[in-house]
Amino acid sequence: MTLPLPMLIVTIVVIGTIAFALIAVRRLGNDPAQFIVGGRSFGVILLWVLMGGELYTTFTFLGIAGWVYGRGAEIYYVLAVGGAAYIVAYLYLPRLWRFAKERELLTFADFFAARYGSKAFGAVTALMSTFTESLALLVYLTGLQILLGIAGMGEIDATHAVLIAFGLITLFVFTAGLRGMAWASIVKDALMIGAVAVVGFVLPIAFFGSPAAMLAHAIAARPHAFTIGAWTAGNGKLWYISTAMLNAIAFFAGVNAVAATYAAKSEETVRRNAMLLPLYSLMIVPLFFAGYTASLVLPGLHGTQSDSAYLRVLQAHFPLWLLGLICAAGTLAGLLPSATRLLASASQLMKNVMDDIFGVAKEGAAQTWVTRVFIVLVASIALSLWVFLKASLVDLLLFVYNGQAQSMPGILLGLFWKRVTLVPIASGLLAGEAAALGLTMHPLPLAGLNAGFVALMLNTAVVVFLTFALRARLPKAQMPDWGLRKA
Amino acid sequence: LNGVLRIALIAVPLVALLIVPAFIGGTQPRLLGLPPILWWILLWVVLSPVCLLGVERMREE
Repeated sequence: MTLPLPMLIVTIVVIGTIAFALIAVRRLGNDPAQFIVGGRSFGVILLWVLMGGELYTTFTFLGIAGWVYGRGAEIYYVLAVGGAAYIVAYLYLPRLWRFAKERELLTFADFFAARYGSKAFGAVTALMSTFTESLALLVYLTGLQILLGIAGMGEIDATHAVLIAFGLITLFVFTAGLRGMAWASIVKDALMIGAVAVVGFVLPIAFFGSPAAMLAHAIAARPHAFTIGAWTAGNGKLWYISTAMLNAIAFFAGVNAVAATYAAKSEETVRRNAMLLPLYSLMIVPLFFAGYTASLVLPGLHGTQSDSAYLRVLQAHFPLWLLGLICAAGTLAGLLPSATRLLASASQLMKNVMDDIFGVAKEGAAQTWVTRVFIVLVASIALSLWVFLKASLVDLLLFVYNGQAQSMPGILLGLFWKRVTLVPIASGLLAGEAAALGLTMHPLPLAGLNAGFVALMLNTAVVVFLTFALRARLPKAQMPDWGLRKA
Repeated sequence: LNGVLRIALIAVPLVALLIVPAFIGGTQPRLLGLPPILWWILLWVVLSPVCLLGVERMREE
């Protein structure tokens, strides 16, 4: 069987990237801190590509252009969040890093176990966040299927291609740990910048002469798509504001983002990284252009087809090697964040469930090997789930984001408010997750507000109320000191 | 005064990115061919690292 040219290029690029990273990492050893958080040694560049690589995924690559293609200006929240989220990160990530460094934390759930003094709560957050991360994996797998379907030119079974690609990346993270992911992200970023420049500038230049001329056409065709709708309309003003705020607050709520923060070598690195990351989000702008160009050149696509609209334009009008390189960039953008999620999820099943609860894998190489076993296990479960229930991923994605965001009061209030303790945080989390799940399954109008934002407000309100209510009964002398120094 | 300025350098870009775009409508004036809402957000994404740099400088002093 011969591979179509674009698929051949994707294969070469993915294998080449993995080989490059394996050579860069060389001998990793079996120290769990090396494997899970890169030995807390990453400087600004490695951290920048790792965090950028984790946060811009196949959703960025396909979903944004797809939204622009079919809908309106509300999608600009993604770009706005790309600036605002890092201001929020600048305020709290350095403190999170210091808290983790002083206690040698390895995982997302470690933070909850340490801050709220309960290994059981750590285990619960580990299981809950692993569950939402697995759902996130399903979304990436579907994105990969779209990309590999296009790269296969209809001659290759995309489901098989996804299984092979995901198997490869699982083996890669199994071998190379977080450090391997960071090195691979360097290749991915170089390729992404090139790919985004091509789809965002070459496409409009080829069809309209310049991006500005293309935009003039797009504005003339759909002038209403450049203004956000009325106050309480679906996707209106309140929706924009609440969605942008939710995403800015919860941008680093994923277990992999927290692990990446731990991997920094100093507080200074975390701060400088937060200052530089907005530049990464400038990559979103050309994807807007690609979506508008596709909506003018190839109108009339619906649903998931609109996500791949600009790839279809490329496929029809440009050399196949170019399509191959762009699909390769998108494939890496799907695979690498999946791998860091696998690693972060597996490490908390090891640390916060096996070690803390069952006393298995107490230290050293055993911890690394148990993490590796869980990497394979979580990957297999996610793949099997995906093969059987591919449908209705939009709802799933909504729940994933809204559900992940509910851990933020535990992190933010935990870092800045000494008085907050286990019972209020756990109750708030429960209320928030219940509301997020309920509102995903039974959407209410909520005056146009984002459901995840409403759940987060409820969550925070429960925490604040219970903290004040319980404090009346807890003498001040008994308040534990968490050792949070002033910034 | 230093404290006020630091808070402003953090609050202004947040408001400019998270709230103001909801109220920017229409298709004029354009900048580099971009519609108003898009160039406004883009401007503040570029300005936000500059604001953080200012905060960082003041923190060091």
